[in-house]
Amino acid sequence: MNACTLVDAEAVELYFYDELDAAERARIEAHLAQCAACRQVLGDLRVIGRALADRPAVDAPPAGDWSGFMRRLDDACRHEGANDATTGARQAGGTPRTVGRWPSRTAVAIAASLIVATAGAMLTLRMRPAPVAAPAPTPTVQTPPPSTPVSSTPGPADRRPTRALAELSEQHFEKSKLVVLGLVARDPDHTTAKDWAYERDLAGSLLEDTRLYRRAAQQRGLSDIAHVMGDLETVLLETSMSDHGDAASLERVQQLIRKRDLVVKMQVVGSTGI
Amino acid sequence: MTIRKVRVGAVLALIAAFVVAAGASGALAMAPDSKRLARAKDFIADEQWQRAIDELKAAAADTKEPNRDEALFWLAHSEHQVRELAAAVDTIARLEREFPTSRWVRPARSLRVEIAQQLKRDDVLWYAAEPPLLPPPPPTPGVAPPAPPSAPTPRAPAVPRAPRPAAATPPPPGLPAPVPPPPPPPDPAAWFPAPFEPDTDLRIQALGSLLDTNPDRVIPLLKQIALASKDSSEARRAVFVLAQSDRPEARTTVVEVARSGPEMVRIAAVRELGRFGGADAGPELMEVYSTATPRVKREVVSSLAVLGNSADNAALFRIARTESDPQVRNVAILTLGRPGTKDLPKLRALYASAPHDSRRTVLLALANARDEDELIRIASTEGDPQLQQEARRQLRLLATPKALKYLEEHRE
Repeated sequence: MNACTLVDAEAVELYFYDELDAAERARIEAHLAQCAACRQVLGDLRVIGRALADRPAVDAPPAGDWSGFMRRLDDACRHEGANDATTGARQAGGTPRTVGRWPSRTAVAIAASLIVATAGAMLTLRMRPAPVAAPAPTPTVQTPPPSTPVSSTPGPADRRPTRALAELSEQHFEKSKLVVLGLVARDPDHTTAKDWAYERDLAGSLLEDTRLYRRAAQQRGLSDIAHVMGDLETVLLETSMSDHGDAASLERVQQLIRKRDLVVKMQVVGSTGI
Repeated sequence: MTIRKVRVGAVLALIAAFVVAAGASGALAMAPDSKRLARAKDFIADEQWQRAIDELKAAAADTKEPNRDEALFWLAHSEHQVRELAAAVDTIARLEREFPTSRWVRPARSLRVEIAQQLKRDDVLWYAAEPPLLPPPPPTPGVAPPAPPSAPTPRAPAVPRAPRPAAATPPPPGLPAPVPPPPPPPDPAAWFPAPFEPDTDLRIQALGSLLDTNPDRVIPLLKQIALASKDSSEARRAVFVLAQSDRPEARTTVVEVARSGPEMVRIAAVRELGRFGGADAGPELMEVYSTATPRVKREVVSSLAVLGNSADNAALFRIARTESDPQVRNVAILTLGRPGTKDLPKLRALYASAPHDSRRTVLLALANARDEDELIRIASTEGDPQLQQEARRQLRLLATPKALKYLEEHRE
């Protein structure tokens, strides 16, 4: 939080990312010379930048396609599950026991969390702190743009509600991860309808709020948030309606989550509020 | 024997009739996806909308498709994605007509409201928010309207149509021109089945789309939902929509709901005031506080902390000093302990003046504010052994060099 009331923290961030034009850059430099609070903000950004620069480079897959990684992860988990079964069979004197579902799930959940954390951190660092009203960078728009004009960048006076909505969206994404990560971590071959009843119920209860927040984000020009909310809405709808809960339904929802990169998007958009 | 056979036959016939009827209406649990529907969903996941539409049209036309209602929903969804809005409206009407009790009707109706919003069809939005009580006139023949209502409904005066908003402004340079919408379907009644009874969330969605253009009519309706809905989630959503508006009368309404609504709705209204009410929401929050229950008061305290300016901090100190409910008081005290707070002297003074059952909370607040000096002072001078222990515990958690040095020098 920048204690300076003259210059917004975003301006210092833009200065740090070298995103300002010459005149604005000169203005910020002059201000930095006499404002300790803004110098502190800049110093913090440099420390974070240096710390992250020292980490090994981890690139997101081309075009954000995580499906290959997820497939390999699934294969590895199935392999592990098969090993568990074999071990279990050996332990039980040749009678195969139920595949160790929880260890496998836990491993996948941990792996998913690591993916989220790493990808989120890397993508957040790489992402330019764009103005809140910037149009969505990808053509994969969940819903057509709203009919009301929303392209104007919110001015200082109305920035607070926009930030509040971004924070609210972040909270909503966190809540929705209970559904999305819960679904991603499940092994369809070893999941009964009852096993993911919790995710289906929760998906239904989150659906209306998701729709509401998507509309609010569209109206405030938060197109990235609106876009991710749209993808989330589709996943929640599909999940909540899968009342037969068979393996094919679960696989389909998982595929939808992967193809839309929903886990990474929720993490990145949620953490940056862009 | 013959009578028994007849009975068995009758029972079987009844079961068969029920299964057929329920299957046609989509009332039973869905069957697993057919291969075609599964393919269509793959295309939807890939956002290959046209290929999805082709598959879904075939599925919707196939009487053997077990989930035709779902196919129709995803067809409307996909048509919406490619801006075939008239076709999407038509598909939704078909879903309602052929599968009136299907669970997919609800999301389809929401999609229809969205389409009406995109087409700036305020008349349709009004129809969704406040359906007319008299039978609507028959639709005029036009481009791709859904089937006309099949039966008149005995209801009263129609809701007057809202004025159409001004035309959309041209897109800024560099952005692609929007695709011109198809010719809008005619009369709003042609969009809906008869009788049409929207659920509350659909009304909220439609009213939210009308709020900017029709605030005088929309705000009282949202207020009514907020105050009268038996479902607190619906009431909360109505409050959220009100709080999104920049209009003063919408904000006044949120304050009124915060003052006089059911407790859960008051809490929601206070939360939205804190989030979206702007930096000057403090006095309104304090006004709510004056008549609030302890739960609402706790929410007021949290909202004041979100605002975080000096006047609101002063209010929080006032609450911390004067509130009789210990839980509310302690929440206020905790929110005052922030790293770098300028109110450290006041927080220190609070330790001396706070009731005994709040002193432990002041210690937590001091630790949150990283005030090692005051914690060391209290650990050295406090006569109550429990509070002294708590001060030492907070110093151990802080683990600053100074705190560790003190603990090392004053081992128990």
